[in-house]
Amino acid sequence: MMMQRWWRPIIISWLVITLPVFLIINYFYYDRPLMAAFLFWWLLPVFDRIPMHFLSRALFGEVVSVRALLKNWTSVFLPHMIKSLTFYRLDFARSYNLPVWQLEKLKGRARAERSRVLKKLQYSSAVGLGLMCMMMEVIVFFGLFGLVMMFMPEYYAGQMALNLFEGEDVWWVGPLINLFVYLTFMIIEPFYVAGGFSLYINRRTELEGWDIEIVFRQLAQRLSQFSKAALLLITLALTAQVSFWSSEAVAKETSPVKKSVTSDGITNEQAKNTIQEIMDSDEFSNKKKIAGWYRKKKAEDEEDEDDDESSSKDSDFSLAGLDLFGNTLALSGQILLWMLVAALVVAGIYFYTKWRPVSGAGGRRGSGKAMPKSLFGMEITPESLPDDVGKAAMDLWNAGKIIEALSLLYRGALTTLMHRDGINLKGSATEGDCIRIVSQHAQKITQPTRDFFRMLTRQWQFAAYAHRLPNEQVMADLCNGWRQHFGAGS
Amino acid sequence: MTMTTQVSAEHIRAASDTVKKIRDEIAKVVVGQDRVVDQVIIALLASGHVLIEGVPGLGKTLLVRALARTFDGNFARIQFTPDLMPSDVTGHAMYDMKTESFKIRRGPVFTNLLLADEINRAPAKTQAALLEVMQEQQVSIEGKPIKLDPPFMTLATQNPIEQEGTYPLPEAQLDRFLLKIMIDYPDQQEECRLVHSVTNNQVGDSINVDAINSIVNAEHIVKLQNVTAQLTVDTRVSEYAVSIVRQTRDWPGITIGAGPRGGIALIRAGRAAAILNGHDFVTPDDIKDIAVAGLRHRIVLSPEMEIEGQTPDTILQNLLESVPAPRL
Repeated sequence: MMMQRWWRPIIISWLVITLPVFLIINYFYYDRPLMAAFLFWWLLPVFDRIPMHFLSRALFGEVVSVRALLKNWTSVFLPHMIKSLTFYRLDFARSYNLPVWQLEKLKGRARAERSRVLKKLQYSSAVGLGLMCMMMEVIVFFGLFGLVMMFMPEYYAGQMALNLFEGEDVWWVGPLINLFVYLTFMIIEPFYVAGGFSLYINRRTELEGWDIEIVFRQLAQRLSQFSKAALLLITLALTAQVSFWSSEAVAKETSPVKKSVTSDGITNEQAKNTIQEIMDSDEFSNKKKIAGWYRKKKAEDEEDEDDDESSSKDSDFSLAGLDLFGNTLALSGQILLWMLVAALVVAGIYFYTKWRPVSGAGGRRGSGKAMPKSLFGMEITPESLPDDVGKAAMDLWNAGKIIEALSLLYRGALTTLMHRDGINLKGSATEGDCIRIVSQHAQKITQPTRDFFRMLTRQWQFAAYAHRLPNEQVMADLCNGWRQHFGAGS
Repeated sequence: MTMTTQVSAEHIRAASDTVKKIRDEIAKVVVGQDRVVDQVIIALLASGHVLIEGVPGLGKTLLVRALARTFDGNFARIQFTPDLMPSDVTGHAMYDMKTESFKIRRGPVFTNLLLADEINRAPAKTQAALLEVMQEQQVSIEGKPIKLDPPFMTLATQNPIEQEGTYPLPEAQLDRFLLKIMIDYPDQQEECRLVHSVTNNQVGDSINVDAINSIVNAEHIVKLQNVTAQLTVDTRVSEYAVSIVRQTRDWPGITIGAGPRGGIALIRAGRAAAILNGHDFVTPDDIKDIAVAGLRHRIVLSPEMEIEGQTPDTILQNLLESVPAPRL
């Protein structure tokens, strides 16, 4: 994939720009590391533009230096920055939309139209990519965490646990965890951007037939290699955690035995016997059982001062380590669960609004409850009609405005049917639909009125679609008929 | 403003009467499928081809035979199978030992009405050969183009069940059919009438089409097609058709909408529908009536809609409810 080929300059650019920001944030929020991590995460859409800028040029053979990137910072970082940090911050398909904002620099309707065309078919893949990368970030974060814990002296591991789960103030834990956050984003985010950019290029290839199919085949080949690397990374991360637990257990079982052999040069059997003898002596056989509640960490502190009781301390720290992982896993599970609930709610709202028109229920497509103000492009409110429609139509006829005269009669008839008789006619109803609907309301509309409406519609269709105009006699009959069936006293 | 020059009202009226007679004749033997018969006649008048989908035994062959009989036309049937070759459809050149020359042996496509039964059972190559003939109205054998005698109409059938081992037609090829007609079981009353007519004084179970009278000849059908092609279509009506087609491209639930050929099909079919309805001009109603049959095979539903069990018909019905009728 693209990242595999250009990972070095991309990571360097990323480091040069984001590391100072990360350090500044952590400096100002030194006492609130969670806030610092959150702020850095929130700014990711801005940082995403670094790999995007680089990849968009590198794909066409131009290698961009960090200096050139910084020189053009306004065109790289400013377009749609506010939007990307507010309305669209939680959009999973962010990296797929980014080329439209950053590279095409489209605005308003043109941008919306472009996004709509691009989103068709590929949008679900882009969202899937976002979700997958989020999962990867979680895995890499905990993988790094586990890896560091595995190599960390137990004293510090215990302190870390105390800080995370007992609330004790240990100055270095917050920045360390933020460093994990930073490394996680540094590893995953460029891949996320490159993935979104690949989808974008792919969609444009489909739409515009870019003659770069061969190049993309090569990219796809590399992508498969990347997938293996990612799998390896996950495996390593998981293995790190598992091996940490197992090493703890092994260490507990083996370390005392090894110590006894190397320090005294006696066998296990001899050591056991000697210990037993000492323990059986009077000084050690006076056993007393004391029960009570005490704070575990205080006990640990006291034990720290006494080297002779190191085995007891080892046991407590091992438990602390297990607690730490248990609690971390529980916390991450809880976070994931809440994210799932939020995603379900968002998906529910999204699909409801998306499919509402398809199911034909409510919304702008019209439930048919509200009376349309215009039908066939004509005003059909009572206020839009003259007092005497028949006379006004005849006047238009005499003025040579034949289509307008027929239009007025037809519009008047529809208005009266809707507002006087309460017949519901949708904006999509054709003339034939109107006749059908009117004929279904025999109890409201008399047979002669229905016949007249059919005749009027027919004349209207002749004029409108066949350009066949009625003669004066027909027009006079229509005007008189209108007064009779739809006039004020009818 | 109109799209075409007008033909005389008498010609149109005569054409309309003839078409109604053809419909009445077919209705003598094809029972309970009035809408299907109407749509097949519309496709014939519009010089298009139809894809008929329905379970076996609903009278598809009978319909084609009956239609061919009404205008003394030729009728051929090809049962598509996985081993059917393109030359089995179009024909081939054969060496004649007597004359020591190649003779062209014409395939079953050289007819007026061709029933391509279960078209999705043949491989893509054979399907493509037929679809090319449908498009070009000519066959090339040994590099020599041979025109088909008009009228030429293909009625291809698909079976919605038993899809295993079939070769579904790709969207680009489906686009060549003017209409996709869904044929369903007749209602009880009509089925009773059908059973009675088949079993009354009849040996075997095939329906006799001898009762059908020939109304016109093949040349007359070509004239009808010419009259249909010249029917008045107001610009606003054609804009309405285009609006429907364009709406399919933006409609939620439709992944791929209809192309420009969809709009062309609606206007062609709308003209024929107007003749069948006795008009000498096309109204938005004619377009709306034929829109589902004209577009159902040109759209691809999104997977979500398919999972929900929605069909192109229901989606298109909702879509039609949202497209404003022509503005005047």
